[in-house]
Amino acid sequence: MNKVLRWLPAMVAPVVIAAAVTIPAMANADPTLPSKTPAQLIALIGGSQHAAYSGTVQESSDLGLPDLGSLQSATGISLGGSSLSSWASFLTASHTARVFVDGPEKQRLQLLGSWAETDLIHNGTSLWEYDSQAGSAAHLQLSSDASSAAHPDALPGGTALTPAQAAAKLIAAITPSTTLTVSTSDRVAGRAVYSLTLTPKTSATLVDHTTLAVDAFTGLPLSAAVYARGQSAPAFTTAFTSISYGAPAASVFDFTPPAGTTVSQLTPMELLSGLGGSAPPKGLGAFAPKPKITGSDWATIVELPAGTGSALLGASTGTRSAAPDVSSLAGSLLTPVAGGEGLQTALVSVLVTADGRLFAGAVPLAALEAAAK
Amino acid sequence: MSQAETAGPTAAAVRPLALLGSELATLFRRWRTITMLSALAAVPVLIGIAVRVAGAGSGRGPAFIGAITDNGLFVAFTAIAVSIPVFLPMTLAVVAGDTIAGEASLGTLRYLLVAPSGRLRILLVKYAACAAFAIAATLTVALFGCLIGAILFHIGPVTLLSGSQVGFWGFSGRILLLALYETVSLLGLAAIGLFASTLTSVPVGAMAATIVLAAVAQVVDALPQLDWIHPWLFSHYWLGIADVLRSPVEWGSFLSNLWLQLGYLAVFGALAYGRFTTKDIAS
Repeated sequence: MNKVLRWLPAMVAPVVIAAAVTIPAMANADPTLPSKTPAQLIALIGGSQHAAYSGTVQESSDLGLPDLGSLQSATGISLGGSSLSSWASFLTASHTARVFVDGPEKQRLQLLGSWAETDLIHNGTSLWEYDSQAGSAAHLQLSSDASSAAHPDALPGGTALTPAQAAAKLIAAITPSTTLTVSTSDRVAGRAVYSLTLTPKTSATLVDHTTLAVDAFTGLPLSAAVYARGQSAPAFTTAFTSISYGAPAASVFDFTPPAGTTVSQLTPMELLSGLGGSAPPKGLGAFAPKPKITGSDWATIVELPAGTGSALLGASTGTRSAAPDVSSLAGSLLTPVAGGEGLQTALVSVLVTADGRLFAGAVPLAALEAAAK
Repeated sequence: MSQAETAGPTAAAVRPLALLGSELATLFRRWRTITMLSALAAVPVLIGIAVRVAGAGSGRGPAFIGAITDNGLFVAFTAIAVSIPVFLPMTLAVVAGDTIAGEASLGTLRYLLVAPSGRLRILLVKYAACAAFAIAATLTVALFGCLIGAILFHIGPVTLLSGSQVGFWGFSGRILLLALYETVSLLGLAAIGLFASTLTSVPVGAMAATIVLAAVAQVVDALPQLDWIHPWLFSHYWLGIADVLRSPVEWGSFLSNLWLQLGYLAVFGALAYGRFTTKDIAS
């Protein structure tokens, strides 16, 4: 009947849309790649240092922490004049960032907020941070040595070794504690990837396994995820959602602070003390005592001596009233346990003992309590 | 249709444009349309005057409101951000809901169909008129925003979210892109309104249904428990306009939005076609 025919587009349209959504996803499944050993794969990663690309990265973490956003702004941690809270919130919320990279000398990271953006621009010996909401910028002049060390992909000692040699060294260092496996049946951002899975051999750690997906053709790491014991979803994951290779426009790496911006010049030392936090009175000095390391590899426990825990968190001693903003952060996170106050997240545990020592590690809280005795 | 064929190819080629022209003339000559566009123009004017009189406040309030005192052109950005959740969808729903149901309630739909224009063509022309209103509405907000900003405040190079500055032409390009983004954002809602309008001969009913749907979509979009459905809501990218103000422009949300809106247009356009071509027109 003619009338039925006229309803035909209305029936066909949803089917066509459903097909258009699902078919590309199915066609992309299961790339076929030649198999590689973990050593070959790590050598492939080492060869990607000079890659040029731009892309979008999605980061999310599920550590079981409460939302720290409001608390962090209260603690006033700052880098120069600009707020660090947008960077620190990586611990609790999910984020989208655009990345532009042209070799080890030029990178730009844009952390996309709603109606806001925080930028990190590295170009040669110059490092800028720009915060659109605060209207502030911080500039750091790097020495030429530091500029190559600042590159996140630069492997330590990579200049002296070929990627294959560095990979062999790395493998030798981690195989006693870790099982490495490589799988080939995955895609990230539409690219065929090798997935390297690192599984701890010990059961004393909270980490179940971590995975690293590496672009099969360029060797660029495209995603990383850390899985906690007993969780099916990753506790922390960061992955490219889209990537295109090729050098971004040179203008992307130019930055001049716009008129009306508060600009602060930083030296590397000021940067470190800014990261240490302005609210704890000692700043960087709080870390000066040598930490004591117990346990090994995945089950490592770091112990900071008496006084550090209370200075850092203002928790156990009488400093609560003196530093209310910090203690509100600590108080909302720490719960009383035997021998002090503790925080257990999916991946990391922290224990502040009654005498002010601080223990931390990727182990259950009970292991920290045992170490504190 | 046989009459249209005998009228010759020239007449058939000219008629759709003539029909669209008369539809646009009717739409933009209506007092209701002029009133709605004036109300939209009042949004940036009110924002500009309020900030001029009371100051920008302490960083709270709509996007960019704090930047207005430094640069009046931010009135346009703020006005668009303020208008997109309510004012723009509401005015568009009035126009889209009125398309078919309005003619039916006035009894003029019969005469429209007597002319050999075909029901599909009427639907296309009505939808095109809705899209034209969406363009006019977003441009009205943007232009009046720039005007009132230039009158009341100091203007100068505009700082984008990424920290780079654009001059007059760069700014004009961005504001046009912003208006285009919001026009595209409203295409799906216009198709829903058109379909609603074919269901009834009471235009107010179709308008109300469309406005309610726009509100419901935004409420659902704000509920984290329903996040699996968020990317499929026609209102999901409405507030993504900040991506136009980055450097380089983030095209991801613009394209996602475009595909989403075209999907809604396909589904509800097809539904409107099915309904309108099988409907018995009695009035």
